[in-house]
Amino acid sequence: MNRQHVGVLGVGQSEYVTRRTDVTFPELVREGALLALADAGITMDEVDAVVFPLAPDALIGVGNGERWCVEALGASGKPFMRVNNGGATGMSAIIAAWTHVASGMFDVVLVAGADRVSESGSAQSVLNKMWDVGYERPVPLNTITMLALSAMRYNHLYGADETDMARVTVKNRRHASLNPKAHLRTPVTVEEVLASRVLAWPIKLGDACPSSTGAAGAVLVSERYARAHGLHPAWIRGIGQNTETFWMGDRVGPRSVSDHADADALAVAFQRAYTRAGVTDPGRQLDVAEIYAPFSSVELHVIEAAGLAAKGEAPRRIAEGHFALGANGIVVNPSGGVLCSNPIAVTGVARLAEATLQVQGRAGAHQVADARTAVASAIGGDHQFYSALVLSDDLEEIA
Amino acid sequence: MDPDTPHVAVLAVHTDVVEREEHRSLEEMIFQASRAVLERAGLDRCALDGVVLSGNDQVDGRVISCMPSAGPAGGVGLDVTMIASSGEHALVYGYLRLLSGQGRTVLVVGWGKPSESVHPDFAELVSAEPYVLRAVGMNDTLAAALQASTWITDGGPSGDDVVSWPLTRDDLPARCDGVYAAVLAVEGSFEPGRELAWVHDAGWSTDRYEMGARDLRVQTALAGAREQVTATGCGPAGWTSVEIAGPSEPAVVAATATLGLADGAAVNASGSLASAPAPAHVAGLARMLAAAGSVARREADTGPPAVAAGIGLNGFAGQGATVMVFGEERKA
Repeated sequence: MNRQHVGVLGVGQSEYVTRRTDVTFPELVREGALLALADAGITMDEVDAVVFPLAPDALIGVGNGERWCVEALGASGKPFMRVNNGGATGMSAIIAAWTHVASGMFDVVLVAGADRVSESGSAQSVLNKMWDVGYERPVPLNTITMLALSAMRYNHLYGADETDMARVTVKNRRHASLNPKAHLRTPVTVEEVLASRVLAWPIKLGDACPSSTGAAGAVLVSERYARAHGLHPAWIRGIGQNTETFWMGDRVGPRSVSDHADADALAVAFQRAYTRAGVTDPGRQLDVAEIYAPFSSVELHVIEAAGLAAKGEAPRRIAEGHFALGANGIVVNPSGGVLCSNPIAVTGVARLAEATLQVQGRAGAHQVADARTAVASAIGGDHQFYSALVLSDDLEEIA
Repeated sequence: MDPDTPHVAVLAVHTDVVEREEHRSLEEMIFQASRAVLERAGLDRCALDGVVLSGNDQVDGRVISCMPSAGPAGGVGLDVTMIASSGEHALVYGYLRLLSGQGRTVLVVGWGKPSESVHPDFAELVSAEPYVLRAVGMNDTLAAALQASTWITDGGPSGDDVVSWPLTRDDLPARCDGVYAAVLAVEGSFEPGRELAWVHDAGWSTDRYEMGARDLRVQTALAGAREQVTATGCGPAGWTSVEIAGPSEPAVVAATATLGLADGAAVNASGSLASAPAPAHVAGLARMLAAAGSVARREADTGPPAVAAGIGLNGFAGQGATVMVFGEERKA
């Protein structure tokens, strides 16, 4: 593994909202960059390279939209590249920036981007086009129907139901009510979630993330830079990525290569990050999990893939009050998570940002008491691209 | 750089170029190219630690191009990252992965299959921002012509062969369907002598998007990338050949001046832009693989070790530029 530790010196997030008419896309990107740079206490002059997270071009309506944003970022004259791993883009970009620093070629790397999901006409119509034209696009799959199939399979396999899903929303909305950046901040009850309109059974409006517009950024630095400048970043202790089959049809039926109920390929990504970080018992060793779950049902199997509960056990644990702010043990999505804010291209950056704030004790009203370690994750494609990373506030062994 | 930084080699390259592929899907081409390059490297998929992809959603006609492509590239069960800004960036990122200690072997695959999508001119038009450039119909050809017009000293060409003044068809890159693949590995993970070329260094930079804010005569991004490799002792003075993917032949000529090549350095020995077609998104990657292949160990050659650079210019009028330097021998 790398010889150089990589730190997170600063993070920034705009408030996530439905629509922004006061800024162009590059101006929104600039917001995320400036917030991250300000938090890091540096200027663009000190940045050696830039990694730009941008998911489907179609969501912003500009091809290779990263090139349009170079001036706004102040990246002219610097090494610059773009990552697109679907919904995992933001965290894959963070891992790409980690790679830049760990390679030894760069000391300071900026990741900054934005998304305007609600301004793309019909995001779900766009996302339907990510499936192959011959077999699965006509079903018709989109990210809601795809994950409704997964939720049905999970509920069938583990005896869970819509109330178990609703409890996830209730927990996250309560957390989001304490997070001034979150898009959906109004607390809800189980009854209200169950009464909300059905999008694709068993997923209802109350189980679904919003289409968010917003920006986020992060500044990653080398250990030598941090030491030379007397800085105290949060540290990325382990990274892991993994990839699942593209074909939904390969995840169901007797010849399936994986079970659509579970997130086994994500579990591999988590395990890769844990191994590098020296984490052997995540439920005990980690304080915070900022995990990518755009629907309530997804959080159930991601908690299990992260090793925080056995398969099928997440609903019971949540019903007992685990994983919530104020409970003993690891807290899941204290920011409200993706269920309350989902600016797709930078949702993974936001997970890192929130995890960083938590391990540094800077998360404000949604701070997890005494948090020092965190795991963050992201999912892209049709539950296909998986990213995970482990953070801590120091370089001590994670006990 | 850390003295413990590993040396990275190109173990194999494979290109699959067809003027217009009617019988194979893009995914089939990617599968065949990935399999072929692994066979050429003497590896199977299980030996890979990661896969780096590069495609263009608009040209490919797929909303997230890496989704249907990751499996055919052998990526299931592996760390897959799509570098969407250009194919040449994907090769650089594969190199960075190995320098950072993320495994010992990586497969890089880039592609473009415009025959399955709309005409590239329309896809390129979508790359123009919606407020000004899209309304004027900007695309790669017009941007290249604007830039080339700044270098005209003799009145320029006239006649029916002018596509966009002052560029003729022979000045412009020919396009095709193509998949380009390479296997990179760190020293110690393969049998000595198995390598095709050693990676000496990489540099990449970008310029402003707004062409009105740039002096189009000056290839600022290329100069920046050149400076990065020069700073590590891998600059143009030591190159015996260079392969350049530019938006036009005048841009290639200007690039040779920007780089400041040594006397006798061969330029585009693999062919001119018009005679060696490549999809726009991966034209730089194609030239890089050609450069790597050109320094392959030459048994009978007694001359100095070959050092070749691959150059990619991406975006309107070369907004971005990448230099990757390959050597017959390991960098000292």
